[in-house]
Amino acid sequence: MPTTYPMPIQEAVRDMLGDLVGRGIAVDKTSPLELEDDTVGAVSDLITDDGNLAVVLVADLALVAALGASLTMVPAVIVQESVRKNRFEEEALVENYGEIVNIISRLFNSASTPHLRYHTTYLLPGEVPPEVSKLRENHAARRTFAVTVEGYGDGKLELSVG
Amino acid sequence: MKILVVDDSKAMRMIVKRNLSQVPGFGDIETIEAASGAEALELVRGGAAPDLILSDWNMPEMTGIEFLRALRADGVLIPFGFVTSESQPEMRAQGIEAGAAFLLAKPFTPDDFSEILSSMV
Repeated sequence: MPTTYPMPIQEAVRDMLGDLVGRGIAVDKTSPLELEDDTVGAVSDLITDDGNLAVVLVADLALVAALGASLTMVPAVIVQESVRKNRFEEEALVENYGEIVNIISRLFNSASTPHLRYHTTYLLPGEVPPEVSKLRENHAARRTFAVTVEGYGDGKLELSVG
Repeated sequence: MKILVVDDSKAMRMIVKRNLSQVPGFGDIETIEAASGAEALELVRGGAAPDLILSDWNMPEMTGIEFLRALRADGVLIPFGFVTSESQPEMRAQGIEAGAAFLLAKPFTPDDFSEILSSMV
């Protein structure tokens, strides 16, 4: 079985996020996400049923907060405060974002590749397992999207396939 | 009608409950929640007696399919549906074979939810 996982196109990401949060979503290709030591955001990984790392997703604070808040209709002011203070103002933002990654993991599954599922979300700045960082560095394919969540703001989402 | 909603995501349990309240014909719904298959199994074995179980597939401690198999092994035949990010045909088949009535893939719209659940009223 081949192990080159499908890389979702922007329309697929837009449609799935829109269905999930029930509001307007815009997705466009954008410049790479530059991670500094003090960048606040989230790194998530998808693994095979055998536990092998396959996909790494990185989102900046603004997008984690916007998507996380929109899932359960947390007031937009919490997102704005999070961006202003450069920290997550509510734990639910990150918890909800993890569920969003869990659901969009479907976009990386195909009939011809091993089944993938959501594993974990690591907060930045913070410790990320070396193999996760390594896959991000040595990806087979990568796309970075600018994602706008109607009423909540926008941020970057980077998808790296191993 | 009493419905047991099983999902390790609090957000998703909330979304499922919100959608349930919009299904025509369901009337008064009482929901009980569990964050894992193990917790849900304990509830049922403890006498919770829901009329319908809606469960995620991938959960820590005990997955949804393990929960369903444990229920059926206990002889519990409460109608059971998966609400999950898993939508691959082989997993759907696995779920149905174990005794699930349906598998609703996340994300779902309120209409998707209504359509599949209205048929169970």
